[in-house]
Amino acid sequence: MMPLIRVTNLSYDYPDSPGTLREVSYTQDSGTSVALLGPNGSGKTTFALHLNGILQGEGEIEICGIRVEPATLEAVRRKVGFVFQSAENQLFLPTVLEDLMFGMLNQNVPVNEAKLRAEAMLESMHLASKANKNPFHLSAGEKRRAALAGVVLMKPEILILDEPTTFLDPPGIRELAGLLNSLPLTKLIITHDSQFALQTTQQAVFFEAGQIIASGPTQEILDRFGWN
Amino acid sequence: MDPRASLLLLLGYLAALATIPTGENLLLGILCSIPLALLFLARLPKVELLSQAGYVLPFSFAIAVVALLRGNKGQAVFFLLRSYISVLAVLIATKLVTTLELLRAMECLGVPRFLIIVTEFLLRYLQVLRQEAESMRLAALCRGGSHNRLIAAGTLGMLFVRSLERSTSIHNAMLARGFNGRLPRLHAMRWTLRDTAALCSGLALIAGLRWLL
Repeated sequence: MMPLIRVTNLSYDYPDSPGTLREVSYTQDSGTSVALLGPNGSGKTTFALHLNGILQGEGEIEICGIRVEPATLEAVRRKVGFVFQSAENQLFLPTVLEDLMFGMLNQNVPVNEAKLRAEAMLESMHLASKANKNPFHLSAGEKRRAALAGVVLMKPEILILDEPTTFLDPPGIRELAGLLNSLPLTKLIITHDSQFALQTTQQAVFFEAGQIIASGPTQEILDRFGWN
Repeated sequence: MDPRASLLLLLGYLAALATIPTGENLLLGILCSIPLALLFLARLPKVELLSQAGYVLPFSFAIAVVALLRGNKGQAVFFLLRSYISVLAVLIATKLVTTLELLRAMECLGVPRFLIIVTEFLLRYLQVLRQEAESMRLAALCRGGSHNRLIAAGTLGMLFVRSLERSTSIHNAMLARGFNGRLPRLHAMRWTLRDTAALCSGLALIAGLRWLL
């Protein structure tokens, strides 16, 4: 079976930080959930940003069989849902409902259908009462759920989450883990939270200095690098 | 009401207000009363809008000074009042119709797309700038910062750097959700007979007041 994500020799330099990614190769099969672990600045987020074409380095990336290049970005971004580390930066419309509709409307989903689906999602995320509120007035956990909802509504095949437990309290983290486990998507989760990684992923890769230096079952990787 | 009809009415009103000859005080009074009446009849934040409209006064005063220096006090007052009421009318319109819908209406009526995009960005990122400024202010206060002009000037550059970074993150999040340069229409615009009737009667009233009185 063809991997859903295939990265070959990906390299990327930030202008003030050469060697951020150094010939990284990676594959991920459909239906799997993988944790990206590693120290700060090791290239995890930079790597993830290449998968939906936000960043474009050297090397080859294929998402669901589509080669990631400028001409295919629209198609790739339909396949890859990205939940950024800062939920606030992801919620940019005046109300929560409008924000959830944003992605669907960009996919040319009719307004009425988008609204119905967004309302149903808000109900399932226990955010129905916040539909007409300004996203900035939500709690950290609510913002995280709203940001996730806005991405999931676009029906991606791959879900990438960057430090999803940031600013969440323990109940919020548990709730998020349950929510993610209920989503039948291929997932890539960047996290420093070892417990969260164990709860939500089966495999992990470890980044260091712009390279993947190890991969394997999540518990094994956590133990090997003392990431507990 | 369809945002396009609202926009056309607003433009008609502003055109009528802008072309009143100086000295036509009765006409000015009647036209000025329209947004004031709307303000008090509709459920709008009156104090907030009346004070926000006042932000134009320092700028229009700079122009009114020219009339004052020529000894024409009436013309100066006329100009100040007209500018204040014009801004008030626009503010009322943005409360009755969302800014995004107004921009969509402008685009439908032929305003260049470039201007629409620039305005959308301005609206979006002004809030980012405000939030970054507030967070920097709090951080400075927590470290014993005081209101010092030199420090304020020095941090202005940082404010823009931080806002740029945050704006870039927001932009990336928008791209990741398929943003293609145009904010999508959240409510379908449907022009109805009622919009035609409202527009025609509104424009007829304004034209009647302006040119027949």
